[in-house]
Amino acid sequence: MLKLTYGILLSFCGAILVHISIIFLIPRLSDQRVTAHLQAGNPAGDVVILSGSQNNSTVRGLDPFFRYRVCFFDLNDGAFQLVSNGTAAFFSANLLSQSGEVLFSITDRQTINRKLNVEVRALAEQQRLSQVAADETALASAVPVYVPVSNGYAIVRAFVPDQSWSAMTDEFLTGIECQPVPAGN
Amino acid sequence: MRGCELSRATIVVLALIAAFAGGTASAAYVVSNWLQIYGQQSGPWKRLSTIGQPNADPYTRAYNHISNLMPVGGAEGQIYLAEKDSANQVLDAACTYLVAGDTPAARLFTLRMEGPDGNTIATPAPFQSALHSDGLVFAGTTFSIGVSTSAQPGNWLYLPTDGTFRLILTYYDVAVINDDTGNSTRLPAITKVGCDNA
Repeated sequence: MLKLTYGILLSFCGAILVHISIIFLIPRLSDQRVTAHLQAGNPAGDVVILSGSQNNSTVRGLDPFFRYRVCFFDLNDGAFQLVSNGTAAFFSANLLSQSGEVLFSITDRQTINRKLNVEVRALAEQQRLSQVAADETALASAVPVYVPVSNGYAIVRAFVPDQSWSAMTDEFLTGIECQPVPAGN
Repeated sequence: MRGCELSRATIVVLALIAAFAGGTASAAYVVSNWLQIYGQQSGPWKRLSTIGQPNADPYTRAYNHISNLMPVGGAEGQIYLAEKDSANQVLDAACTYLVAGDTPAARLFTLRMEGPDGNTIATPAPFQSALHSDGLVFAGTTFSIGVSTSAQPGNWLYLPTDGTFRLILTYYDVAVINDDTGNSTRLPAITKVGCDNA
């Protein structure tokens, strides 16, 4: 009887440990298939456009009335910018870590003149910039974002209410400059 | 003495096997049923917007990794999913539903259908697999959308499938006029109008 109780107790405690281990290990061990799929063959700065009207075998949750521009950033090379001169019926953007955590998000209503202009820097740079008090002019028209990661990706969503917006939206998405900030800024 | 040690070793091995099986099965169950267990319920809708948030709990993080959902940032909008109607009955394509409510406090919203596999249900032309608020007919400050395989008056979301389905409601730009938690967002009711086989 004592052995049986011991066995049940051992298996119960063991199951709890295994359960907790698996839950915490899934994000570490499973490759984030959204990130992996999007990044396959697309180094930093490359254009990836997804259409929500087409079922995607890997990425779920795409809205049929939206098109998506994805680009990857590597802050080891310096700051990164997302800039667009065009616009869309509605757009929003978010920055994600490699593991798919949302670091920052913004809609066109929160931008200046409904133009996308976001400058992404590593969090470690924030203190340096504030001490130097530099870059004020460079950042004047951009939304500065400091993120606690060195790699990640940005997703810009653009609303396509109907086909008449299709060309304009594609032009907006492909026209987004998604690249490292030139040296000196 | 030797028999006693062997017996204890057997118990330990069996206990470890049971622990591994139980721990794995319970983890798989909780993660695969994350929506039912952890989805924030509001009427027939469950809020998915905690997915992808940095402060998400370990179960939500695990679900995020296996679900392959494109995350939506807090400032961008809120996503809600319904598998049942307001009477807590599973959504069945043999039935007609009315999705009706007040104009939401959001810049725009879309309503689309998913199959049980989580993919948007494809529709033949000229039907669309989703509707958006800019293309809806509103009655004052309220709206209603008929979801059915047969034509409905007013706003109609054509349902081309059979079996069960899910509705996905996405509000965009809610943070401008709403709190970021989505708690004050009023969601539409899903009412069953009737069924073909009723």
